[in-house]
Amino acid sequence: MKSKQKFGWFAGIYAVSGALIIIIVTIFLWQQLSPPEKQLLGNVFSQYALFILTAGFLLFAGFGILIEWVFRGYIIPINSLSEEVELIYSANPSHRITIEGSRDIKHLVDQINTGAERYETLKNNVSKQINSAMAESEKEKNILAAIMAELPEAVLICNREGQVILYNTQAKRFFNEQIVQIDKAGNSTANGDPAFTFEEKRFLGIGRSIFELIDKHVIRHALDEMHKRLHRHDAEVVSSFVLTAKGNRLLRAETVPILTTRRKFSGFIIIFHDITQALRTESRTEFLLHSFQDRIRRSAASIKSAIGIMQEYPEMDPVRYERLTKIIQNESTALVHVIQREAGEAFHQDRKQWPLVPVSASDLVEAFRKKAINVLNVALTLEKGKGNEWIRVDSYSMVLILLFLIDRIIKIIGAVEFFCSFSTSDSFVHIDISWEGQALKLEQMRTWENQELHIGREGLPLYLKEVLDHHEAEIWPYCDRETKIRSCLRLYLPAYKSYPQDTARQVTVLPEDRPEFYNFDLFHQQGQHPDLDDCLLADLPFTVFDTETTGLNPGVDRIISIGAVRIIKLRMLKEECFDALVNPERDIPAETTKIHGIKTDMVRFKPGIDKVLPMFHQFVTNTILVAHNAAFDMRMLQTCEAKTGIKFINPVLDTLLLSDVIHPEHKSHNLSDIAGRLGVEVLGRHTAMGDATTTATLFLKMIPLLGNIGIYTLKEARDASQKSYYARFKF
Amino acid sequence: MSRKILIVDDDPNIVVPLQFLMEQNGHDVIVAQSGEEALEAVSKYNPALVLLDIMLPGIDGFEVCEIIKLNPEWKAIKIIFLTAKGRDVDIAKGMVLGADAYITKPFSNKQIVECVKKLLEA
Repeated sequence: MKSKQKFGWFAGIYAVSGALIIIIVTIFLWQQLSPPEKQLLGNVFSQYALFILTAGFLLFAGFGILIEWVFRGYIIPINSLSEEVELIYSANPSHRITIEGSRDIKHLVDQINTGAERYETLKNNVSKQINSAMAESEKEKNILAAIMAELPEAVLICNREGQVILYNTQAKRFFNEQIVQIDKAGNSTANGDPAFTFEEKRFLGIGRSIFELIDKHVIRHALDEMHKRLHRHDAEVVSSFVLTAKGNRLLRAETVPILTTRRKFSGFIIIFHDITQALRTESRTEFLLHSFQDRIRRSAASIKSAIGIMQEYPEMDPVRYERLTKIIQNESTALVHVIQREAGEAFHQDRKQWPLVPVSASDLVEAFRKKAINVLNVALTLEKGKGNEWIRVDSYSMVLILLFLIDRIIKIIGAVEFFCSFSTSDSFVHIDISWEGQALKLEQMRTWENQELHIGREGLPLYLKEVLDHHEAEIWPYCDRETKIRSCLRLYLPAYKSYPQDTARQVTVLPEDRPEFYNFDLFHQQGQHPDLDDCLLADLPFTVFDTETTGLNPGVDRIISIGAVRIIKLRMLKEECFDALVNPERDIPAETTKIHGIKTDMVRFKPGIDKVLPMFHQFVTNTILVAHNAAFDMRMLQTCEAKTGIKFINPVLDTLLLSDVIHPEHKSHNLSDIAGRLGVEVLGRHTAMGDATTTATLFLKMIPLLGNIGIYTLKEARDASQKSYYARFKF
Repeated sequence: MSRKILIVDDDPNIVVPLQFLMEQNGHDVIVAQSGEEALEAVSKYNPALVLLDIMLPGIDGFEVCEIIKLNPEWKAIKIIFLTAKGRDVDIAKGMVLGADAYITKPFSNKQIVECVKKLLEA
């Protein structure tokens, strides 16, 4: 409650209670008097009524003036004093108190200001020391950042919940503003599936989920595989997979676990290698090699056969002899051409870019069984395999192949129950998928080769043949001539005899203390879906934003600019900002241009709100929205709902309301005044990005001030805001 | 013993010597240059043996083999894959599909003649 209101209440209560006391005492005395005394008193009162009432009024007024003097001279200044002192010690040590009041209060203010001078000097000295230490720390962080930036590979480090806690420039190049396709159920996955309904831009950033960037099925598969290997204490625990990134680049990813000293899983590192070019070269090389081999074999066969015939039948007719000679000449010329022109190109290429990792056949079929049940919802029985043979595969794409086969068998044959087994022969491992019913023919399978591996929501933009060729694998219908009970499709994979363990990537085990030159402590964050209301403000991710508009009427005016910056763990991520001009599809009034400086010409060729808002919506995913006078900005966003279909359901905090919660005695809570109070420099006022940055800086200053008055969680901040005076503003 | 032999290959430089070789060994030779032509020839001439390349325009050799072996009337026709595809997995596939022999190019004339003779006598 404000001091003036307190004074009003106090004066009112004093007047009412004083009047009540006088009335009660008068009634009591009146009842004690005898009738003659009452007669006498009545006569006196009626004779001197004017004097008595005047005296009574003057008495009340005198007391009222005295109370007001005490309030103005002591109580109101003391109330303000506590706020001002808190401001000095919590937010702005340069602030000095200029409160009017009694002589005693003025003396007290002088003393406090003197104390504040000393405090400021002391704090500046401490700040210098802290800044010096931080500069040192920053230098070390920059060294790490430089090392990370120089790595040719893209690196992402995630905590156990899959939130990104560190990434380098290369990762940003591959993943920031990546376009993903979203299906009707809102799931994102690989490209190319006709079930997808629209595209969305995804951002890479600290605190964002890796599952938003990379197909969650692929990541889960890699994590499952990694956990299984950790559990078995395998020497090689790295799980590899391939994926597509921005610009259809094909990346090879290695997932490396991070373990605590007690070997508990606490996060993982993903290292990405861009294999797009290498794979193209490799595919071409493989093609050239096969073609080279085939052509040599063909030519050699023709030459050898022709020479053999000429030697065996020397008496043959001249015409036939001439023809065979011509064949030898032609094929010899062809051979020379192949050797001179093509062989050189075919060799000397690195053919190791798409990694094939040793996996036991039993692990592969078990992973396949789980996926078949989850993705295709079919009954798949694993029949005991013979031995535990190793194969070298990219396990995710190989599981996709098996799923692809079942999916197609269901569509063609209509089988509902499947059996899977593996066996070995010579140098092959066979994985058999069998079912009771009609057999498949090669003719039916012919079209599959050039189909992409997509099954339901999972998939890779790679052709079946491409993946099979890379594994040197083949598939064809297999008929068990003895039983003939079931039809079968057999996948032939080359058996892998040795398992080199010396090349295993080392598991990262965290030291007891924090890493020496990177002082992040984000491994122990809350769960992926915490109960937001009870979360500490200091732990929550925020997006602080501001909009500039064509005017101040949300029903009529339109957004022309959106600026936003993210706050994670009380740190403003200035490098992860959103700054977009929007074409409002109408002229911007000159009077508003004077405020924000945005002219119609500047936005004429910018994207409309239907393009910008989906990107902004994605940018703010899983964060709390913060704005100054948020009611206006949120209303502006709401007016775009009908056009864009996008609804912002994030929790919202308003710095205007929070300022009033912190400093109820201050009349003004506009951005500039709050900034002045809290000692924040205002940059780019009335530009969306400038105001968003200023608001974010103010918000960071407000969080400890809120803590001083017992507001720590999101719910507490929101409840306090609702009670504040300015909550009554409605747009 | 004179029996009809079908040579299926799209490369005339291998067909010519093979045709001569088979004719010199007393066989009647029919030539097809694609999978479709091969199936037509099988249907029309009912050969005793097929020398079959894998890489053919249209239907490939594997599919021709499967179709022949799945047809009860043609099941007795002997099939020899005569191909440049020499990977183990290709050989395994050919044999699983019912081929009677798999010979990779380059081959010796003697090897072919003996293989044909053996299969026709079986």
